Amino acid sequence: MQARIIIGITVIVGLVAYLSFLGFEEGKAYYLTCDEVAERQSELGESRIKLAGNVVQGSIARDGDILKFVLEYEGHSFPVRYVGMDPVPDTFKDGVEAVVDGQFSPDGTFTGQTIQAKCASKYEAEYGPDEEHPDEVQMDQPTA
Amino acid sequence: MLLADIGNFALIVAFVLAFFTIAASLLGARRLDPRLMAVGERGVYGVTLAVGVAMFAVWGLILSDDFANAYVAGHSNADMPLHYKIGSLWAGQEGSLLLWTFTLVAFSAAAVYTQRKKHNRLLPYAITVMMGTTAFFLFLNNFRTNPFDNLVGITQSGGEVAWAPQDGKGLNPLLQHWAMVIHPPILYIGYIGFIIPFAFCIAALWTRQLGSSWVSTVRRFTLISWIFLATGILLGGKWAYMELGWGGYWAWDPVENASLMPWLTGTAFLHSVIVQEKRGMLKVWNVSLISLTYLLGILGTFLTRSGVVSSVHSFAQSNIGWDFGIFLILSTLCTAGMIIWRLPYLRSESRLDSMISRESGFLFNNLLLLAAALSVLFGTVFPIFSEMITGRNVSVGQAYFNKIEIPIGMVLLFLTGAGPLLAYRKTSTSSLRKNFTMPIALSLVSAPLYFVAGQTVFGKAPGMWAMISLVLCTFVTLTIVQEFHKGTRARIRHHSENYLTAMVNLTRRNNRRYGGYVVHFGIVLLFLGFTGQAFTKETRGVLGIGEEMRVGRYELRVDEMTERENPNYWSGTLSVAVSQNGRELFRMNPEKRFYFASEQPSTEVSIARQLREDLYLVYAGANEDQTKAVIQAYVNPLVAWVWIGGLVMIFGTAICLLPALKSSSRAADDDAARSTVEVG
Repeated sequence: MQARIIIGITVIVGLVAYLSFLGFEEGKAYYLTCDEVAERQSELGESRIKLAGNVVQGSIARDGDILKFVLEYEGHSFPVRYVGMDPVPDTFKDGVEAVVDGQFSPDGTFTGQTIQAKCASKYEAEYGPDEEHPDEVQMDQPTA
Repeated sequence: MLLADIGNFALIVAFVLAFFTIAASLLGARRLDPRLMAVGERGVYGVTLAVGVAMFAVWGLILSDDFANAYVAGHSNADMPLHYKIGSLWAGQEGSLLLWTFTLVAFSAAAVYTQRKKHNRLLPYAITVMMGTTAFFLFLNNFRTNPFDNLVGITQSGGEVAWAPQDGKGLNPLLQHWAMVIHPPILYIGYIGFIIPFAFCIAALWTRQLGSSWVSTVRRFTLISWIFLATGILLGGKWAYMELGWGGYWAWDPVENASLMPWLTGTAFLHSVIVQEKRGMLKVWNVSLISLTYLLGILGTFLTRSGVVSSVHSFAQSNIGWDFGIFLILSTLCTAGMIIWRLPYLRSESRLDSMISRESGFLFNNLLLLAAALSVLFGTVFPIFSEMITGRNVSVGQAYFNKIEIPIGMVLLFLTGAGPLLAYRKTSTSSLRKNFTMPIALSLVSAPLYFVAGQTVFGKAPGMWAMISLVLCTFVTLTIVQEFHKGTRARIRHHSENYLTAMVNLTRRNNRRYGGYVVHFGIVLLFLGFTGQAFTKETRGVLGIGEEMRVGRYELRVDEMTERENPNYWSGTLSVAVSQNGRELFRMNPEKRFYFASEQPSTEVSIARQLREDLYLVYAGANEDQTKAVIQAYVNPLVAWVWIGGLVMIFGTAICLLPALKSSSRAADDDAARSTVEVG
């Protein structure tokens, strides 16, 4: 009995581990910010990565069916073309943190299949001076 | 201001009282002093009252539009409807964690109340665990994320002054939806409810009372937490489906996974304790499973709130990341230590006699659910560790999760049907033949039918996994029908009732067993809904007025593009005529909005729901010269069954929670329940 149980458990664990390995290889993508990509651009080639950065103000443009914009992080930026089927998320706009899943083309643009933009569940409250408080400069409470 | 002071004071009182309660309970237990223990029990009520006062104080500040308070200013605004104002209590970090604490102490009070007259030796130690956790969260509430902090203005000259804006920032439009309002409280009840079985488990380990008494004490709390967690998870999916506009309801996002993991181990625990009650086996499994469930719940809160895993959901709150991490590590070490220390008292009272037995079915159930939970955990936290170790952040894609969890899900689905048909100790061959023949035969026969149905109804033959899923769904349904039929027939033999009455009474008299079958049927419907994803169709089109596009069996024509504006938002709406074979069926109105205050666009998806499929339209925006509309259209087959399945699960759990009836005719019921299987 003991032996059979142990064999059964080993089989299950082995299968799950095997499937994990397969799924992992198939689905994995390095998550790299723009500056990290800049460091290793040559070794990346055309492999699939998730490029992360902030959307540069005013860079969002539509070219026919394709959405173009520029992602920037720590001084390094890359032009991106989004060709995926899904509609662009509502949170996607100037200045937000975005992650694009795709690969670089030989001409240096990044072609993305999926976009994620940070869910703005919180956004800093910025208050400028008003009639009651002409003295006050805008402040943001460090809200979590 | 007064309200804020009262609230702040209440939080401090609660914090101090929590420690006092721990001291009284522990001391009372050691000295077997009933008065001290009673003080400890009352202390729990006191903490609950204090936290309640604090929570109502925050509500008071919100409802009175007190924008001097930082939290109110950041999450509410004067014109917001009442139900969203109430919901804004948990829209942000500080309020959300206060709700967490309140749920925790409310459950603790409920546990104390239900146990108060039972001279339960475990209670003082359980109180210690519950109040210990409470103390940690109150520490966060008081000193890290205090909802009573006021806004501070900085003058030109650099000084600080109290300040209140004219109006608050309001709730993010994405959260202004009924599902999002109730999703956090329901999820919290699910997560946090499990602390009661966990607390009694630790108490049992401490006092070495490791029979099945601790298990039966907490049975109802376990069931309630389980169904609330399931509902919370499904609500999150429903919201994502209706609000986010990508046509799906589950993306294996870290925050989604965070809620799923404790549910998986919680499900395993729920089933595994049955074996402990019946045969005194799987004790180590049970203490480990409930501990894992509790710890995964804390981990889930940590992942969601600390920003340590990049996710579209994660709200970067790095100021409490370390606190949570330390608490989690300490809790894990203490729990593991307790289990290892008491291992000698957790020996099985019986042995496994056969692989074809109810016990072995439960054992495999545990293994598979644990494997699922651990694989999801690995995939979710891998990016953190890969970054720490190799400096590179590697995220596993959806392919990883689907590749592992779909096969595991299929085997679990099979067990759902097969398990209840197995006998304890060993199932005889004749019993196997009697019980399995019809379900297996008929479900195999159904396979070619599904092949054809897929083609004709959804335009595509089912792939391998879809086929397996459909056949197994059929198999499980047949086993459930068979069980109800056998039980009803047995009951009719002894009572002169008609079929329906007999079935209802059968369920009433054996509510744990048959309620469990209803829950299982709900799971079948869930899987049916999941299988629909194999037949999804998606198209994108750019349409001007009068132009048409095709998706699945439907023709879509844009008849009108209108715009309107109100103080809250601008909106553009499409009027789309949906036809099939030239005959108009109905109209749909997908909308795009832009909220002024938050400068946030939002998509109001239009969904035409049918049992067979959902037609799902997204108005993605206008084209460059604003003359045509970009439409994303999806046909999502069988999605409705996911939500229906959830409702059936709730109904089944309600049956399980009914108070047990004393059966007057033991013989009839023994007949109906040949081998007692009760859920919970």
